Amino acid sequence: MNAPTISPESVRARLATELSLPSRVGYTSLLLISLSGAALVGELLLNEKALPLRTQLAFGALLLICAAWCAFAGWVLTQRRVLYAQHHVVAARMAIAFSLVFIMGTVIVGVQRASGTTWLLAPAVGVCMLVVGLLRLRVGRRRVAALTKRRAELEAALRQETYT
Amino acid sequence: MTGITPHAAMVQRDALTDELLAVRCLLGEPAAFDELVHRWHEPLWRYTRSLLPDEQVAADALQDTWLRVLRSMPRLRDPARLRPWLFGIARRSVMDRLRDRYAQRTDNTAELSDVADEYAHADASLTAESEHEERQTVRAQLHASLDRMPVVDRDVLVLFYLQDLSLAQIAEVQDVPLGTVKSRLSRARRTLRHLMTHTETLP
Repeated sequence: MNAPTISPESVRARLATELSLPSRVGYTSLLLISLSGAALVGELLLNEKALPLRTQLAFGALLLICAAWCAFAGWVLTQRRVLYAQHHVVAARMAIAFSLVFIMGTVIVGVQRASGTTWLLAPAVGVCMLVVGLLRLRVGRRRVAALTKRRAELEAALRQETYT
Repeated sequence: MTGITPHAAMVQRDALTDELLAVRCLLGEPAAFDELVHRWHEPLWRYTRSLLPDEQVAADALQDTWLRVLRSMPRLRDPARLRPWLFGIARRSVMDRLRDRYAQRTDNTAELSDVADEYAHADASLTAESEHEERQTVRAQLHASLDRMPVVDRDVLVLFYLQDLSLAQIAEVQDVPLGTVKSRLSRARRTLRHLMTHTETLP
């Protein structure tokens, strides 16, 4: 049987492109930014009572665009640029950082400009994003810890096999 | 390692090495993917090439297999199952191409999914030692007759004799019950014996 017409080097090069970290970080950022954008625009649509119809339509379109980017980034991260255990931890940390910035921004703007309690909706969305980020970080860390432990066990077993 | 044959020790070491590689990949270590390709490129190529007559189509299937491996690796729950999991992906990639290629001749792919259990009795008595010896004997015959065998027989023989997968692992690769694998293997052996006898009687 002939040698493979496709070389291991070309496969490695292709996989290296697929595995590149910047690409994953980029799509994770896109997901978080579009999620924050959707939350902000949604909050404005819900809370601003006296918006003209044209503005409401424009906000509605913006909300749809943000949701579409969200769905696209989610699809890429689950189907094309999938996240491995350590990537999940990085993505969760990014989500936490984004959520904190989002919460601080909405609180500052809300305290300065809004009246009543309706402005609290945006920070509440941010808190939900933060909780999800923290949970994802916990799950990711546990997975990394379990895999790292198994890795150490396997390396020890293989070392022992070499010596015996 | 008292009481373990050198072959069994080698199998055990291979299994540990594969699992370690899978664990490192699951962690997302780029070097581990390089090693995975280095270790499995040739075996996967031999498998896809043995099932697909066209070299270019086999190369496409192999490339597709690696992309699928990369994209579905995070869903590999048990790293110890790396070997059957890899061949399962390669097999699906091959089947997709066979379906496209022989859309008008559905008998091959239908056979791959629906072989009856009528020969299931034949392989139950194989012990680990006799299985190893038998693999060595059949392997030599198989190389000579592979191209003339039906795809359904080639698939199971290549996995068992050339890739050293256990019956349970082949069941996992083909996503069928163990009994079906036994029946397929039994039937494939008969086909191989028939081909060998036929070849030997030729002038």
